Amino acid sequence: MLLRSPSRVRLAARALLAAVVLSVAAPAGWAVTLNRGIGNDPDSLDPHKAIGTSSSILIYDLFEGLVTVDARGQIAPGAASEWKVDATQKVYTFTLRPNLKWSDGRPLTAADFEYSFRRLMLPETAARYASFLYPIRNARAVNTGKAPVESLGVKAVDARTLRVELETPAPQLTELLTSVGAVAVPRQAIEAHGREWTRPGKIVSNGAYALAEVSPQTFIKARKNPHFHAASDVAIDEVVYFPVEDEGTSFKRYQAGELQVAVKVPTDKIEAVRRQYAGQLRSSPGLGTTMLMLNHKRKPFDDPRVRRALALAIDRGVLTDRILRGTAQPAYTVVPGSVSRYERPIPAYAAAPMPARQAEARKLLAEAGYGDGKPFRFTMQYFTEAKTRTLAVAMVSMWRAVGVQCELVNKDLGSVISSVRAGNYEVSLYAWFSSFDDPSTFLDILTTKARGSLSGYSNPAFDQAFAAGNGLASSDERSAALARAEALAMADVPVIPLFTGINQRLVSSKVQGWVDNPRGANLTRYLSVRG
Amino acid sequence: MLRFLATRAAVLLPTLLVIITLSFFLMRVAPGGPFDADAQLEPEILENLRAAYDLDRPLVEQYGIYLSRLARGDLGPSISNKDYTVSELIAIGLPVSLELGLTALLIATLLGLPLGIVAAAHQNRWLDHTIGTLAMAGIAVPSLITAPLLTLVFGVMLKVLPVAGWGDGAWENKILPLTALALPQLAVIARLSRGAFLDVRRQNFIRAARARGLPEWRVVLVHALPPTLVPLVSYLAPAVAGVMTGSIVIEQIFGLPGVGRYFVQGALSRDYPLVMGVVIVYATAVLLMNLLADLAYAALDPRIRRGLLAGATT
Repeated sequence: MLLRSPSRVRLAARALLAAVVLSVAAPAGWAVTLNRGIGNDPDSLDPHKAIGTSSSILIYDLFEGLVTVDARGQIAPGAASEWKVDATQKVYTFTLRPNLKWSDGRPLTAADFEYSFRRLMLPETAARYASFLYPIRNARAVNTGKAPVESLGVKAVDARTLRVELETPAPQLTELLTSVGAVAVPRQAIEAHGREWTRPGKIVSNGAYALAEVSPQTFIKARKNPHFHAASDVAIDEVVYFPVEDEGTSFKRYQAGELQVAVKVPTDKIEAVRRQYAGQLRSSPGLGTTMLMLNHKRKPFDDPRVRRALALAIDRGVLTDRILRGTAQPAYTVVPGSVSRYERPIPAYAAAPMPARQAEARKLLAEAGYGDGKPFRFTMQYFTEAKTRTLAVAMVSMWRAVGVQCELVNKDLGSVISSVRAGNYEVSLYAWFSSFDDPSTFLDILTTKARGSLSGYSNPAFDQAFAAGNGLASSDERSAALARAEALAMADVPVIPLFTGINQRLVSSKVQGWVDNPRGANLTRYLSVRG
Repeated sequence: MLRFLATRAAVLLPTLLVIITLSFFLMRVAPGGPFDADAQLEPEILENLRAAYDLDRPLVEQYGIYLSRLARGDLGPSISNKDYTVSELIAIGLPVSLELGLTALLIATLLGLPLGIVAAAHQNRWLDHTIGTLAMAGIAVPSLITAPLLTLVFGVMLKVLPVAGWGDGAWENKILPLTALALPQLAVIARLSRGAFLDVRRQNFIRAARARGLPEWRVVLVHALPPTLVPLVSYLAPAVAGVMTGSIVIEQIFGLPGVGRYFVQGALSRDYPLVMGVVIVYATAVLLMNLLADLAYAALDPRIRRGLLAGATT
């Protein structure tokens, strides 16, 4: 022991010296790194195959579309510096920035975008988000193999001009072009490497960052792309993305300083997090609505009185404040409150006190033929996810208060969705999310579809109002018309909106430039790290 | 002996084929499909996706495609990890699971076995009771509790070890997961070896050894230890297969890139090729380990060896 202690002292001294040297050297030559927690391991780095938020965080950093979002999550010019719409509102002309380059230094031209949109629409690509761009002329036909890819309404006029033709006017086109599927993908890398083109060393991209290293399920490293058009404004040199699935682990890694941004915060510890990390917990309502889907093809859910009674009896505040502890806000419409420039048609009952709502619910049920002698019974399916069981049990007791008996069926998410699609359910917990800040993607679920909508709800008057409103060229008029259409549908209570989740993120006080936005888009290029 | 080995090995492949066939069809019978968790999928897109993974073909044809690919060593593309094939995912994850699992089991055996023997040697005295109580605690407290507790103490409070992550296999990243993995195994092994050692000690051949005047260390190490290992081997064989293929809990909590997560992730997302891949790996590991266990019995206990030889020659 005595013999070993001097060497220990020497070791400690050496370590101390090293630490001093390093800390002095750090600000001079070292790269600025951001350790960014993402949710799951990204399912793909191919923008045409990726689904989900963790992939989109990476794809937004690595690639850029014609249009992108700014630091506040608002639409901003991307690879295109400007765009014009013609009088018919059906032809968009995009002008690319001069001297655009891929991360391998090759020039990026309008032909690259033409290639990208064609690849997106080819049926064999099986791109998940292709349908978002169906407003483009012949897009649906190409995507279903009914038309040649050359007929797609995207044409490179010259090196810097891209013309996009639409089927019908779609003022939300620029919004749709912010989709991860609409970025430029590198023809040279895809043709050279096939399915493996997204690997480090093979991938080529046009965004603020270029992929450097991937260790599946562990980390993904990207470095600043010197060829990016705004490279001089990018403050962070290196981003390390850490996939962390477990909420508890995510929080602990943040506490330990291993992560500077954590996207998963444990709901059951939210009060403690709010206290401890007051300035670092960032909350913003997401673009999603959790609702109850009612099967209109099953009796008595075809009866609006029954649907309305069920909706009246649910106290949204109990769900959002008591169970979800303020990590969600009540919803009474399908379009969430986070969608901008949209006046939600909130029904009058939302403001009414619960006893009055319960009395009204009982009255409606009695009118529909239910009462003490003949209680209304049904089953509700829900998916196994955090808190959903507690939410379901709470709703069962709220319905019991108005004499309704509900039996719960627990399934995994995939089974819940497939049985809703097959119309094989009575009532189902359901959630609808969008990556677009636009009401149409939400209202679309209420429209009558050729193959049958999820709920079986069909109201021709709503369909007409939705279609007419959706095609309006003026953005304000369109929003107002869509809100009127939603009011028309919500009067029928086609579904029962419950709440909109509030995204919770922990962002270190050292990270600057982080602006909360409903889209949840915080591109690394707008962030900086204070030493 | 060789004939015994040959018969056992010959059963391996058909057994594996039965497992593959059953898993293939059972999985397709389960409700839901790989694209069902996506609530907004348009029918047109769904068709393209199904075609991309051959899911639009008749089930029997899909089975044929799968088997012919498998014969060429191709486990197919993963549906939920689109940039990788199942073989690539397993090739990346298996070494991590193998390394962690086997190291944990080795630690558990090296510590658990002597602890068990010490406890047995001090039967019903305080040392035995202390080891017994600790072992019970080790078995009763699941890693779901110990793992977060370890990260909280060493990662968040003391900040001496990383909370999670693999860090390209740095040793600091392995300490906590190894501890969490080894603790319950250590406890089981200590209890098993205590019981086995007590059993063996009462046997006639031990009394005979003592009667011949052999020193106590020789009695324990040469005569009592090998048969003590027999029940341990019965436990270790499936345990090795289990730890080799990863622990979903440990991997989730420590964010480790092992294969364990693919069992749950594959099953929940109905990633058929991924589930098949991990099932094949796991089944092969279990079958091989059982074969190895049979050989180990024979090596450890002459009575079993004679029985096996008699069985193989009749």
